[in-house]
Amino acid sequence: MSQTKHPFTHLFLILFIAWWSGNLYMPTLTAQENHNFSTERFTEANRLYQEGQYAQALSIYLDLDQKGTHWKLYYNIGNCYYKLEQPVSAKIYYLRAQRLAPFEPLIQDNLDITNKHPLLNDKTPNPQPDFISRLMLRIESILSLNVLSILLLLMVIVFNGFIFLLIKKGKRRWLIYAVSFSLVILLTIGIYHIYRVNKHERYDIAVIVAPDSQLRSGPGENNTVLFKVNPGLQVKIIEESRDWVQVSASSNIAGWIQSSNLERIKKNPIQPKRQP
Amino acid sequence: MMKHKRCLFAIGYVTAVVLLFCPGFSTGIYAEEVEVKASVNAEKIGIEDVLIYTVTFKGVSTPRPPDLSQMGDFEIAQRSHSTNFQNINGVWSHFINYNYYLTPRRLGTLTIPPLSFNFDGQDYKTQSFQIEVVKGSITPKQPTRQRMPSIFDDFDNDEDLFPQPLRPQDQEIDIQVIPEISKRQARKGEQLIYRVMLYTRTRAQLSMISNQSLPGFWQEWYPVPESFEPLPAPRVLNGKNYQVFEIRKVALFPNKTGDITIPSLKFQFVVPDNRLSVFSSSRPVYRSTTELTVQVSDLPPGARDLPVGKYSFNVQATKNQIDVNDILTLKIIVSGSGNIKTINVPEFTTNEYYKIYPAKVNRNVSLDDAGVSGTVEAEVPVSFKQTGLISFPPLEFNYYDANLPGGQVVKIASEPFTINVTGAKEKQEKASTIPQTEIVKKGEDIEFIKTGEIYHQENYFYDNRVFIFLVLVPFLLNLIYMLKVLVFDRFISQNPILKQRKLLNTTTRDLEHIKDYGEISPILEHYLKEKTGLGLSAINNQSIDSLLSGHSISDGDIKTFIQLKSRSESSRFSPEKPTTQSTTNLKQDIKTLIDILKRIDSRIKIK
Repeated sequence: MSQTKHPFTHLFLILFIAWWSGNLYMPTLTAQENHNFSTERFTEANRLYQEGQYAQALSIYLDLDQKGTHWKLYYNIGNCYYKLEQPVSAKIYYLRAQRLAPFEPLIQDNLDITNKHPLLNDKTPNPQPDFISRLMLRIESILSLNVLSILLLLMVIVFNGFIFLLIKKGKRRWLIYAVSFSLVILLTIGIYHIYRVNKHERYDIAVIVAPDSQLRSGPGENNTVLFKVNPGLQVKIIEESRDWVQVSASSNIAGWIQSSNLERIKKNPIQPKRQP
Repeated sequence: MMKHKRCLFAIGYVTAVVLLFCPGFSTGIYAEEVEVKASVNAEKIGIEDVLIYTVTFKGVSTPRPPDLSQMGDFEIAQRSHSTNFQNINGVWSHFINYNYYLTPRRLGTLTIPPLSFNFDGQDYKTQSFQIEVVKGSITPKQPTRQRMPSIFDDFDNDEDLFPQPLRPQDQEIDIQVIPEISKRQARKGEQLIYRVMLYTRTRAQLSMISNQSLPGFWQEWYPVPESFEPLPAPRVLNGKNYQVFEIRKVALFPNKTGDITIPSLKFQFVVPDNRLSVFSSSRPVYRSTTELTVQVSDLPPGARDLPVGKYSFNVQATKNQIDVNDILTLKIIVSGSGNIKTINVPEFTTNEYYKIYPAKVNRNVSLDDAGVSGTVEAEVPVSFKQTGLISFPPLEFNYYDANLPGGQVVKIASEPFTINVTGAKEKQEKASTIPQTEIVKKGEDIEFIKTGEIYHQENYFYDNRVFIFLVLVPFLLNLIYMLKVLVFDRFISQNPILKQRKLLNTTTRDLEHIKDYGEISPILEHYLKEKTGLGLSAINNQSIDSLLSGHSISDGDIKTFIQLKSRSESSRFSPEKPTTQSTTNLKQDIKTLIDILKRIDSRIKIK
């Protein structure tokens, strides 16, 4: 009799701890975030934009940018910069918006228009993603990282519940099937979660901002100039050495550039491996 | 008269023939051939050595200095140029040599790429060189100085300057640093050159160079050369000959008025010290410059915001004719000597004919003997709103030249120019035939802003410590439970006292949770089975009676125990509908049974 009570008590205990911890932590976090990141100021900035006061609107948007991140905010900042004839900055913010909302068509439209701006010297077409990449992007847009984390947590609880029952009740056919099945799902979600977190952390795209920038063969002014690159060129950061970063714009264009000559799309990326 | 004329004609003819065919005049003046050559002094050097790379121009009066920016494997340590005239086989030639002292950056076979020049539409190219660079230094020290000299290497060879009795090792340390400035009275923003000159009669090395900020000035320090060249002639100070070196140089631009003092700069030198031991050793010596004061007056009222210096100004268009849908780039160029880093070029303004975009401004700043000079080039994109001949008005650039008598404002205006804009405005035509929303899609304008609620999107649950905690807790709990089963439970089962206590506790707890009489019997049977080691089939009322009697349990307890067990068994086969009274009775009976069990438990030892 007592043997049938324990597993449920145990499972309920885990669920209670999960619920309690989440409730204890999340409101504090949300309160902190919303304190300075208000929709009211966003609406005020939108009104200024609609009245054509782009500089004033931009000022509020940038202030909000210091306190939180949302793709709509980045998108609107990009619009302001575009209207103020600063296409390089506009491109940076559109790319920031796109990082948070990869499948938002408005962002891509504006990005395309910005790339055609006369002042944007980067005419290099961005490589189109292949089928697999597009599929992965589609999954990412549907399954956000937070949803994936909650799924992972639920699967951990379910898997451990079955393991507990297996220990308690001994080998039962249905329990062995349940443990195996939940283990496969848990591993799948876990691996995908690690992939997503890693991708998120390692995202390090940048845009060249300084005029007459040069890609060199190594970190330092003494190295040979390989390419001259224009403001607006989108590059991927590969490696870092003091004030220099190794970037690649395509399979044919790569080199070292001073980090002050570019601006990263992700504001605080995990630094790529450093050279001594 | 006629004879006299013929005589003059003959003399003129002969003179003309002589002039035409005289090698000294004909080739020297008219027929000098243009040549560009490059040479190196060695094809194999050590990493510590210096390679002398010489570019020679022949027959070019003012060649542009070679561009060595592509010479990535070498560093230019020093450069110089010279001009000479030579008469070779009666032919006069004009040579300009550019000499570069190059230090290799790495070991291996390094390449000096060819240099290209264009004179009068003709292209010239020098040859490339492969230089093998090995470790150390392979060139012996020679009077001609193959190795790049250190600051005072010349002393060893300069017998005239330092006669033997006054060799540096034997003499007192005689080093002085003396500041020099190009002007003591200047206008605000005017360029001044401040130099620190080293006067020395002692062999020493400069080891620490002061590079402090000079308040009251916008400043541009000259880079410290890897080696110092002495001034061509020694200078006399207090009746003594000194070798003089320029060790620091800075271009200064006063940014306030009044008396501005240039503070003392401190330098450290290392000199040989023969007092310490017979082995060579050295000691530091410090020298400081004296303070200098510059009187700075404000610019005259009409020139307050103008740049100071000497500049040229012009505006260029990349094309004279352009399609209306294309972008024209205008170049607004200011070049000259002065604080080129702070100059703002004048701007065109947008009007009904064209739209002016923000300019991309390039500044090329160089430091030469005269100070800071260079070029500011603003590239201004312009799009046109209509076709036809579009005129651009002259732009005016004003500056203040302090070197003109009394100082004067110089005004330079660019030439007005006209651009022929042709073609048809594509977007205007399309606008009349397609709806506004389609124009947006075709790139006429960006999509409108997004409204609605925003929240902090980059708050990731996985990044919270709670997430890690919640993921780990189930695994930890299972681990603890597994340890309990494998270790704790096994330990209890092997200890009779603990096992007996655990059995009583479990039985008591189970009894406390039952809801009807039917549940009592299995619990008691399980208890007796564990306690006595009998099989379930062997446990009946008779065996219980004999078991309990054998352990001196009172008859009353035995009777109550057996009664409750029997009632439970009968209740299992014919369950009663629970009532308030039956529930109260059950609770009372359970309490009694637990008391009996506690008395029994201490008498019967577990088997």
